[in-house]
Amino acid sequence: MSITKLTTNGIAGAKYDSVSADNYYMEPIATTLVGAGGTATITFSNIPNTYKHLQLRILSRSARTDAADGIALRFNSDSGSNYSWHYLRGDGTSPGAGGSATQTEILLSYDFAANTAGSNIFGIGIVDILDYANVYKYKTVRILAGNDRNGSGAVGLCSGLWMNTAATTTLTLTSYWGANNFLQNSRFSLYGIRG
Amino acid sequence: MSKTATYSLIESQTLGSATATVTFSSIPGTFTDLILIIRATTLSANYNMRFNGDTGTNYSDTSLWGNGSSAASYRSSNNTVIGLTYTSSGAPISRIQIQDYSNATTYKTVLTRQDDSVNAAGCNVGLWRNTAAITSISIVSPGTIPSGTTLKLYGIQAGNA
Repeated sequence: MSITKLTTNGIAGAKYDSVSADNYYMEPIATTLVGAGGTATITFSNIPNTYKHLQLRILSRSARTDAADGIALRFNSDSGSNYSWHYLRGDGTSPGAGGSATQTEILLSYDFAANTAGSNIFGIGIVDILDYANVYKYKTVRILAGNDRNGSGAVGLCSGLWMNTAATTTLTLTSYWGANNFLQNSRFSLYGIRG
Repeated sequence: MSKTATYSLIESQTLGSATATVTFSSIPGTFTDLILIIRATTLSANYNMRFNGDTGTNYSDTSLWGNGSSAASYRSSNNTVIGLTYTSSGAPISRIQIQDYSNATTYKTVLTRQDDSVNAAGCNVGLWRNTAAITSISIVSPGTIPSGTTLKLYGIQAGNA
C-alpha cells in the first residue's frame, strides 16, 4: 500500500487523528446491484490493467432451494478444466477442509445465503485477485466468506487458481449449484488496488 | 467507470484509558461498506460488537479458529452481541467488514479476521437481525478494552452500476 496523501486537522482534542493518512489506494471499478427480477450471471468485462490487484466485495442471496449456495468464478470466459480450489470452513460445530483440481471454475465459497435461509439474510464475501494483470503468472485468488443464520451457517477461508498466464480482463460469477438467480439486493462490487 | 479513490477514514479513536465500551456514532450513510480495524495493546483483549445501541437478543455468529495444533468452530445464537473473540487470549488485531451497512432492506452481516501472532488466528461471520441502516457501532468488552488500543473506521464507496 502506498500512501499518497497526508492531511492534518490540527485540532486539539479532536476525535480524528491529528495526522491522518488517507489511503487513496483503492478505486471502485464497477458494481452490480441486483434488481427485482434477479439475475443468473454477474460479469465484469473490460477490466483495466492499471492496478496491481483486484478486490471483489459480495453481498449475495440466491434462488437455490437451500439455505446456502456457492458462488463460482471464471476468468476471461474460460470454461476449460483450468481451475482448482481449496477451502477451510467452520459450521459452528466442527472445522472442515476440502478441495478439487481440474475444475471448470473456482468455487469461491459454499457459504453464501440462498432462498430457504431466513428472510433478509445474505451472505458476504471478500475476494482478492492478486497480480491479475501479470502475464507471467497463473492467477490466484483468496476468499473470506460466510453467512450466519442464527443457529446455522458457516464461515470459511478459500483459495483458487486459474492456470493461465493471460491478463485478467473479464470476471464471471454464477451460482455453483446450477442456474440459480442471484436475488434482489445482492451486490457485487469490483475495486482496483494500486500497487 | 468511476475513478474516484475510496477507503476513507471516517473516525479514529485511541483509548487514553481502559474502557468497557467504545462507540462510533453518527456514521454517515454515504458509503457502501464499512471496515473497522482494531489494534489492541495486549493479547488478552476480548471484545464484541453491537449496532445502533440495540441490546436485544438479535445477534448471532459463527467462527473458525486455529491455535497451531488444532482447529475449532463455535456458534452463538440469540445473543446480545456479535462475538468477535473466542479464545481466552483474545484477539489483538481484528479487521471487521460490514457490507451494505446503510441499506434498509437486508439484515446486516459482518465478516471478521482476527490475528494473534502468539496464540491463534481465526475468522468469524456475524448477523444482526435488523434491516435498519447502521448509524452507530459499539465495541463492548466483558472486561475492559486496554488503554492505547486504536480503533479506525473506514468507508468504502462502490463504483457505478
